[in-house]
Amino acid sequence: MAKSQSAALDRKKLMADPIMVGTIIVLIAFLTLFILYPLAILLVDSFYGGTGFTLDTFKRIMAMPTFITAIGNTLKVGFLVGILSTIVGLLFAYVEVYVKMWRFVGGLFKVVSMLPVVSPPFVLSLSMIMLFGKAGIITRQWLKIYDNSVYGFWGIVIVQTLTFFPVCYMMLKGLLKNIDPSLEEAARDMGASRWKVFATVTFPLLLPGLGNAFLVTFIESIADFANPMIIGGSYDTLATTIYLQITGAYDKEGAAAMAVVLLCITLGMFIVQKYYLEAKTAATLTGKASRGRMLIEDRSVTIPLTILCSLATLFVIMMYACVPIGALFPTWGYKFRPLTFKWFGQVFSRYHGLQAFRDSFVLSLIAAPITALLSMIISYLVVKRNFRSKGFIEAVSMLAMAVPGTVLGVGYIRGFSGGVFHTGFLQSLYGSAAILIIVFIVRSLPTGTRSGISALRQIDKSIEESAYDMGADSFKVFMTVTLPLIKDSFLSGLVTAFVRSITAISAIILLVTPSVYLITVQINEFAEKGAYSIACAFATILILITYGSVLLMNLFIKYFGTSRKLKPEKVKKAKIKRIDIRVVKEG
Amino acid sequence: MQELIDAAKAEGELVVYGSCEEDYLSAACAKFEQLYGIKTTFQRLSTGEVQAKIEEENGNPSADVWFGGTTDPYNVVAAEGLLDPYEAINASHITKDVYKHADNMWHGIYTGILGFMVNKDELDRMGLEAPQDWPDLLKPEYKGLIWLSNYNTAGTAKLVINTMIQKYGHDEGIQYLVDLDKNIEVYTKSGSGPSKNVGTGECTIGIGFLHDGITQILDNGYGNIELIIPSSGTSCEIGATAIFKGAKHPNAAKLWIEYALSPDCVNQADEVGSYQFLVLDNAEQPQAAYDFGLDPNNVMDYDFEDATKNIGTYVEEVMTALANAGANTGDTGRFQTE
Repeated sequence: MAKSQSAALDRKKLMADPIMVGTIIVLIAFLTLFILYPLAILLVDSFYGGTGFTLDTFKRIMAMPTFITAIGNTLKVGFLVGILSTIVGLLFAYVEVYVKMWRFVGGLFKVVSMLPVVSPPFVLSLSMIMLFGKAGIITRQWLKIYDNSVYGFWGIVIVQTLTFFPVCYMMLKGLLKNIDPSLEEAARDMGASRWKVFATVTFPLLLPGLGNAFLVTFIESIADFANPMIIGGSYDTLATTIYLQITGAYDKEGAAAMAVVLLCITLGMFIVQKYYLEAKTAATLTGKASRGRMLIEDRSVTIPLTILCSLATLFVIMMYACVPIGALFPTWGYKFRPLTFKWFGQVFSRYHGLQAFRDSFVLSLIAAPITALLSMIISYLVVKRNFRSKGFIEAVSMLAMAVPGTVLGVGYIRGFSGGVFHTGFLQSLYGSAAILIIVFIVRSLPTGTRSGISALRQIDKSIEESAYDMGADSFKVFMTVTLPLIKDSFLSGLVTAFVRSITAISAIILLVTPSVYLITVQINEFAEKGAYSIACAFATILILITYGSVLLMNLFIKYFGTSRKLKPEKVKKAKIKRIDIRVVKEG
Repeated sequence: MQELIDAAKAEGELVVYGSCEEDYLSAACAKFEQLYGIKTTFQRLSTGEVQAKIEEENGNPSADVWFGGTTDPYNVVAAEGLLDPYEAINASHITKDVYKHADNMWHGIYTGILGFMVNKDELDRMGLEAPQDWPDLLKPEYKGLIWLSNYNTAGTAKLVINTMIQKYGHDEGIQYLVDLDKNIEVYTKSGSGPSKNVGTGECTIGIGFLHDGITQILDNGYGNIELIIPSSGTSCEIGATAIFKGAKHPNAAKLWIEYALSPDCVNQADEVGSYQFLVLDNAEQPQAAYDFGLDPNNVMDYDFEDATKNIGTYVEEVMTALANAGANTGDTGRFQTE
C-alpha cells in the first residue's frame, strides 16, 4: 500500500513537471524511431512476404552457400580474434600492473592503446597489405618473397587482433589493479611459485573478466565491416556479405534477413556479456586494492616480458607509421624515392579532399554535442528519476551497443527509403545529411550513456533535491547542478562521440549519397581500388584531425573541467566505503 | 540549342551513372555543372552494375544518364527498352557510323584499344619474354601470371570474348579462352583492374585497354609497365553515353548528351588521365596515346551486331566451358565480383 502510494506520488510529481515530461516523450520518440523502428522493420521485412507471415526469405538466404560460409567464417574469425586479443591484452595488462619496467615502455603502452581510438577502422588493413602483401615493402622489397598473400582468414585475424587487443588491455588493467595484493602475497608466503600464484589465485579471480573481454572482442570482430572489406579478399564475413547483397545484388529483403541473423548472434552474446559476465566480474573484483603492490623486480621475469611487450608495441606502432609514410611514396610498389607530397596535393586538387574533410568534420561536430547531451539526459533520468518508461529508455539506448553498424544501415535503408512504414512520412530524411548525423548519434549514444551513468551514480541525490526544494525546475536543476557536476564525463563523452563519428564507416557507407563526401568512405573507396597512396594520404589527414581534436578537447577539459583537488578525495571516500561493506558481507 | 539549355536549367538537376574512370566522370560532371549551373551528382558503377540497377528499376531509374563504359551492356538495355532515343545535334561531329546506335539510343564518346600490359621488371626477374600476340598467352611459362577481368561483370572481358570468337571462330574462340584460363590468376570485377595491379608486380601480364596502361605509366609513374598491341590485330571498345527511359530530368539529360559530344567535355579527358581516342572530328586527340604507338584505325573489323546480339549467350557458353574444363567458376577469389 505504502509502495503504491509513493509511486502515485512520484507520478504526480513527474506530471507536475512539464519540461521533464516533454523531455521523456521526445527521448522515447527518438529512441523508438531511430533505434527500435529500423530494427523492427528488418524483422517485418524478412518475415512478411506481401501476403502474410512467411519464412521464404530466410529459406532463400539459408540456401545460399555463400551466406552459410559467411556465418562460419564470421564465427571462426570472431572466436580466434577474441581469444588472441584477450591473451595479448592480458599480457600487456599483467606487465603493466605487476612488473617493474622502464618508463618508456609504459609510454609505448599508452601510445598503443590510444592509436586504435583515433584511427579510422581500416588503417591496419591498409598497412598490412602495404607491408606484407604481395607487393609489400617487407615481403617483396626486403625479404624478396614474391607470392605472399595477406588476403583472407589470417589477414583479418591479425589485423582485428591488433585493432581490438588494446580494448582488452584497458579492461583487464582496471581489473588487475583491483586485485588485493595480500591475496597473492599470502600464497607466495606459503611457498607457491610465481606461476602457481598466477595460475591458482590471480587467474581464477580474473576469469569472469577474461570471459567478458573475450566476448566484447568477439562482438566487435563480428560487427567489424571495414577490415574484412579491405583485407578479406574472397573471404566474406557476415558484415561484408550483407553489404554486397545490397550494393551488388540489390537484394534488400535478403540483406534484411541476413541482418536479422547477424543481429541475433551479436544480441545473444551481448546479453550473456552484459547481464551474466559483467555482473560476475563485478562480484569478484570491485572496489580498490587496499594498498600498493610490490612490483616484480626479478630480472628473469622482467627482461623477457619487457622485451616481448616492447617488440609487440613497436610492431603495432610500425603498422600505424606505415600509413603516413605510405602516403609519401611517389609510386607505390615501384618507386619509393624521393618522397613526395603529391598525393596529399591530389587529395585536395582532384578528389574533393576539402569537401570531404569539411563534410566529415561538420557532421561529426554537429553530432557530438547532441550525443553528449542526450546521453547525459538519459543517464540522469536512469539514475536520478523514477518513472514508468525508465527501463525502456535504458534498455533501448544500451541495445544500440549490440547492433552492428551494417545491421543499423540496412535497417535505415528499409525503414526510411520509402518513409516510415513506406508511407512517405520522413522520406526526405533518407539520403540527406541529417540521417548521417542521426546515425552518428545512435552509434555513440551507448558509450556516452554508460560513462554518464557511472559518473552520476557517484553524486548524492541530496544535492539536487535541495535545489528542487529551493524552487528550481528540472531543467534548471539539470543545467545548473547536475551537468556541472558531471562536466568531465560530459566533455569526454563529447570527445568520444566526435572521434567515433568522424571515423565511422559501417552504417554510413550504406546511407551516404553522392552529394555528401565523407573521409572514411573515400579511404574505403581508394583502398578497394588499390590506390593505396591516396587512401593513406586521406587516412593520415584524418588521424591528424582526430588526434588534434582530442588534444584540443583535453586542453579544454583541463581548464574548464571540474576542479581536480576535490574530486579524487571524494571518489576515494566512496570507494573505501564500498570496500568496507564488502568486507563486512564476506566476514 | 538555347531552348534546350533553358529547359534543362529549369529542371536544375541531373544524376549521372558513370562507368568510365572516376576522375574523368567527376571532372565531366563538375564542368557540366559549371557551364550550365545544373546541379550534377554522380555515382561510379561498372557497366554490369548499372545494367543490373536499371533493369531492377525498370523504367523508374534513379539516374538520368549513363556516361562511359563499353557499348555491349548499353545495347542490352536498349533492346530491353530501358534507354530513351535522342537525336543529338552534336552527333554530326561523330566520325564513323559505328560510333553511334542506329536508332540514337546511345552515342559514342571515345574508343579504346584492347591489348596487353606487362611488368618488365617481373618478366626480367623470371627470365621471360613479353607475349606479343594472343596465342603467346597460352604458353605454359605464363601460368599464374595473367590477369583478366570477369566475364560476368566487366564489359572489357565481354569484348575479349567477342574478339576471340570473331577472330578464331565460335568453337575455337571459346576453346582459346578455356586454354587461357589455365594461365589466369585472377579475373577482376572491373575492366581496369588488371592495369592497376601491373605496376606493383601483383599482376605480371594484364589484359585490358591500353589507355588504362598509359594512365598508370604517365599519371602514376609506373615506368616498369610496357604496352603491347597484339601483332595479329586486336579490337576496340566504344565508350558511350545515353539517356535512361523515364529519366526525371529529361531536358537536362538531353543537354548532357550534347555536352558529352562536345570538345568542352571530351577534351578534358587526357588532363585527368583518360587517354582514350576521341570519336569527334572537332576534338583534340590525346597525343600521349599516339606516343605509345596506339592507332585507332589499326584494329580488326569488329562485327558489332553479332557482339550485341549474342554476348549474353557467349558469356554463358564460356562460363560453362570453363566449368566443364575443371575451373571453379564459383571461386570468388579468382572470379572476383567485388
